[in-house]
Amino acid sequence: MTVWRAPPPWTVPLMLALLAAPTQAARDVGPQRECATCHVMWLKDFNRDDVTPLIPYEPKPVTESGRQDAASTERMCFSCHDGFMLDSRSVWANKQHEHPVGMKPSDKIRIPTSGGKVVFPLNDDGKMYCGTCHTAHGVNWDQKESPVFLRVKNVDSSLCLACHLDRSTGPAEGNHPIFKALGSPPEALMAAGARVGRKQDVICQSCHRVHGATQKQMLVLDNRDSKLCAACHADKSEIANTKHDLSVMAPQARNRLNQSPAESGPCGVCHVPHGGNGPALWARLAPPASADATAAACLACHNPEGLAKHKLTGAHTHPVNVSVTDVGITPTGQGWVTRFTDALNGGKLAALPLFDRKGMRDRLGTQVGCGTCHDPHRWSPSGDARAPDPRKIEGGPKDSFLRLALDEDGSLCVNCHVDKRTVATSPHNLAAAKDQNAASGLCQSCHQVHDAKGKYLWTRADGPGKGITEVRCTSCHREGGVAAKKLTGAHSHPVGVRLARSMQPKLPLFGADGAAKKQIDCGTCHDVHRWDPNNIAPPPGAKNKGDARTSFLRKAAAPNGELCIECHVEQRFVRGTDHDLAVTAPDSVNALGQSAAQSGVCGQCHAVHNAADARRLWARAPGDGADDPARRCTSCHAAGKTAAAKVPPETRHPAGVMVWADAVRARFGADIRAVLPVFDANGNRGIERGTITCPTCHEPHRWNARAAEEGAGKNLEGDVRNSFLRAPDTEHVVCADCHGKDALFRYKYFHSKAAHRSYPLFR
Amino acid sequence: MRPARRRNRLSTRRWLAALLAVGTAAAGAAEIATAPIKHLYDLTRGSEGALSLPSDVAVSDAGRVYVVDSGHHRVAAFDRAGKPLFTVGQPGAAAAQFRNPVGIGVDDNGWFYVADKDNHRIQAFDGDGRWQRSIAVTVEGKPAAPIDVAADRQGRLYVTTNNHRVLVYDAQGRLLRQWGGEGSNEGEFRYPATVALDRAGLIYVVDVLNTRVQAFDAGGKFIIGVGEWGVLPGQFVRPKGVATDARGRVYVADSYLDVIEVFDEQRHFMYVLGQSGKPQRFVSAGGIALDSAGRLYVAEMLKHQVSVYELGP
Repeated sequence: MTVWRAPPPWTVPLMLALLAAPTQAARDVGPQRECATCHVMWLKDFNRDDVTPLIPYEPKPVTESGRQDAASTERMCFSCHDGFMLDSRSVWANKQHEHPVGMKPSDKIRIPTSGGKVVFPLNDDGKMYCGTCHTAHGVNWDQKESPVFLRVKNVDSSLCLACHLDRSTGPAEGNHPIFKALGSPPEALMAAGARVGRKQDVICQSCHRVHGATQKQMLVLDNRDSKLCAACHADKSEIANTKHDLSVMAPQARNRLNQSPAESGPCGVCHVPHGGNGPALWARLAPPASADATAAACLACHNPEGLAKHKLTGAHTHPVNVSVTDVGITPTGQGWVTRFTDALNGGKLAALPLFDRKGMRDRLGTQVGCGTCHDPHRWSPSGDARAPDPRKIEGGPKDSFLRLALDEDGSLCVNCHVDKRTVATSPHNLAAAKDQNAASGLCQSCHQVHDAKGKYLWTRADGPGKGITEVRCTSCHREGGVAAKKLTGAHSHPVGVRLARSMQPKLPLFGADGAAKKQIDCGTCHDVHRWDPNNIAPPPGAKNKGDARTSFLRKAAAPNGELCIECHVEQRFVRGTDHDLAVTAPDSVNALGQSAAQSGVCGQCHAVHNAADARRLWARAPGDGADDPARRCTSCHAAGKTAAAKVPPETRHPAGVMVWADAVRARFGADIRAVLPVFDANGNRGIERGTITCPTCHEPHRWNARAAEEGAGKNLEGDVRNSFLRAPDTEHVVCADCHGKDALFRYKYFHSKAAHRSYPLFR
Repeated sequence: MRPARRRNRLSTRRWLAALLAVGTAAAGAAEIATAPIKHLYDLTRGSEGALSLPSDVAVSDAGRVYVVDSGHHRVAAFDRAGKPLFTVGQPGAAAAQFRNPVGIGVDDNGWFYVADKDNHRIQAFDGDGRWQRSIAVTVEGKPAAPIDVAADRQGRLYVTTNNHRVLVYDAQGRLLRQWGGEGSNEGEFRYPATVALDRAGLIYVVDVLNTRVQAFDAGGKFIIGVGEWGVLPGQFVRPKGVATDARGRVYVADSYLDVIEVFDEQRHFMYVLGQSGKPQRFVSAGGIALDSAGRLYVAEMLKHQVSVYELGP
């Protein structure tokens, strides 16, 4: 009986007799009644024999999720959460994609325990059910903090992680990162019911909805087209209809979950959020074992057996897992900084992705990987419209998934190789020179990043030569080559030879792979990317008239011979002496037509390339003389020539006299204080015996044997104490071997007729 | 304006019948008093697709059936034969969009009103589904979530809210009065659910956690209560739906017991719909409605359908 209003008078006694007690019980909203709100089976009416309840007594009904207490069946939950009281209808509206119940946990699940009891109990059949995660009892937090009726507070998906620890290990173990800041949560995700952590970071519920998910795997969004991925990784969505869109390029391909591109979506072809291979959550087969970690993902397809076997990097390819610090780059939190600030010339560097040595992308990492230059999700850095059919296009220097274009400015290359930017304003910029052999970009005329022909990623056929860099230079600088007008000539500075130990230049030396780098080569003196060592941008028109100040020299050889004296240290004292033609004959020109200012102090007498004579790379027209060394001296010291005022009346020692070289004299016990070389008829020194000629007594690079110093910078009249004489005195020199004490006289007046009397003055 | 469809139409049983039924049961494990119904058809698909968690149903004088397809945040309309006519709404907060709608009612003009719960408003549509207006639901200046709505003959709207109130609006949407509050005394509620009016203009409000139906006059004065806590005939565990027939009987659907219990015009338990002592089961019944032809419409939420029956004489 269910009446609270006063019944008709005649019914009152009967009503009271029959129903007073039950009615009073129904009105009693006490603790017992509150418990029975869910624990209906506790009602005593089920034990009565005189009534038939509207539902059978089933304290442990078998439901879809198994046998369990009636109070924790879904039906009981829904009876309050159906929208009329509390509202969890979304749980049931998309019930096919909710967290599984009625299943036993897989062996991957480790249900935590507390005080010897499992925190998340299973039902009587050992299966998951609503009560595994939920309880109406004993919550001690506020709804704002975490949903109530959960067994454990679910802050930042802590409840999920309690069982699914294996899914939370981060990229190092192939899992999508969690607790990574999202910035502003994507609207599409939030509208679909996703949640973010307290710090606006990624949590399990950012992608999964335990209840009410509309998609498989409890995903908040349909991910067949990778829409879920794109909600956060919107910048990756441009992969569609590119050569990396395997649904177009390789629809038959399968990822490691054996899904086709159509099944996995464009992202799932290569990445899986859980169980991926490596930090990129890689979903494809493992790369070759030899693959470097920073290239492993790419090489999984770009290998001879892979899906992209026609797009290989070749034997000569840009290295990976090398540090950008090697090229002067320092990554910082504010971007990249270069030590080549002059070459950067006020420009700014793009902070390209870098990695740690294990291939993990690292904001402050230093290692270069494939992903440093390539954005595999974006065909063109300019964002140009993609071709309608990626199968029919071929990548070029301005697309090919490059992060920056290989354009006329070499944007991508010079972002790291900052010091090479200067090639743009040099004659080596073939594109700018409109050379018919030029490639479209700044760097590609000489270099090919992948599948190059040789060392230095060289894109041209090697030319003649034995030097490591020489053969690259002669690719162009050879007869018939692109730079046929710029050859080194028959007489040129040697390359491909080992430097003397005494020479320790602060210049690059070279050696075969694995060998010590001790050879001089073209690259020792030349920086092929910079025309002028002292100027970033040479004046227009000046660059094609190279001389010792420019010409891609690493250091200027003019005016002071800075480059030359890196190796030829002892010759540095020639500067400022009478043999510095900038001092004594500034208007003179060498055989190449260069003035002293153009050639530098060394270049007036020596030509590194295209020398007039092989010996000493002589840069002047030889004069007359009995031997080769003498003819070099008479290049200037002759009538009508530069040093016409310094022509001795007698020029040489008697030709028939052969003397021991100092090395031999030393073996005889001579006290050698100053080496006076002797020469054969061809001007070669180092022989055991030879004739005495000009350089026997003169060291043309040092004015004063007593003083290791440069010249005074003015034309001086010399005497026996200087005048480029090798020996500081006449003692202990070869002269005395024959001339005894008379040697002083003959030494002092060597170039006068008096010293050359016809009678011999042997000791 | 005529009263809403949920009103008394069928003839009245006597108090004594109920007493006899109870008396018979008391004699020892008596079978449950039942009255047969005839199944006609089920509404499972609207014009836009399958229904999901239909939470309430209303029938206009013209015979149009409006179902809150709550899982899809929309309303599906059918003709009397069960043919889908149109669908209104999608998730959202704009006009003619819904967020977790629950209840629905019709007025004598054939308009239907939707309790747009999480948008905190009642939305009104004409019989063809054209949006007419929206009424913001607030209690003490704060948005409140409407659960159900019913209209009387004067066009007044009676709205239940999940903060335990009944609000009354005039036809223009102006709040006329309100009553309720959380509690278990007369006139108080613990989660009022559906609301229906009888031919006399009494307002019946299902009071879920108090496991009863309370009847009020138009001024909000408590008149009578129906039902009580328990699992026996005449008792409720989770009452949700309520409707009245022309005879003044009150039909109450229980979403846990899965039955519809019928009370006579004196609000005494008469029987459970079913046959031969076996109740007809309605799976998680939400709102129910009766039409002028004696058809019963039951929103079976977890069956994702509205079941249509013909009541017995």
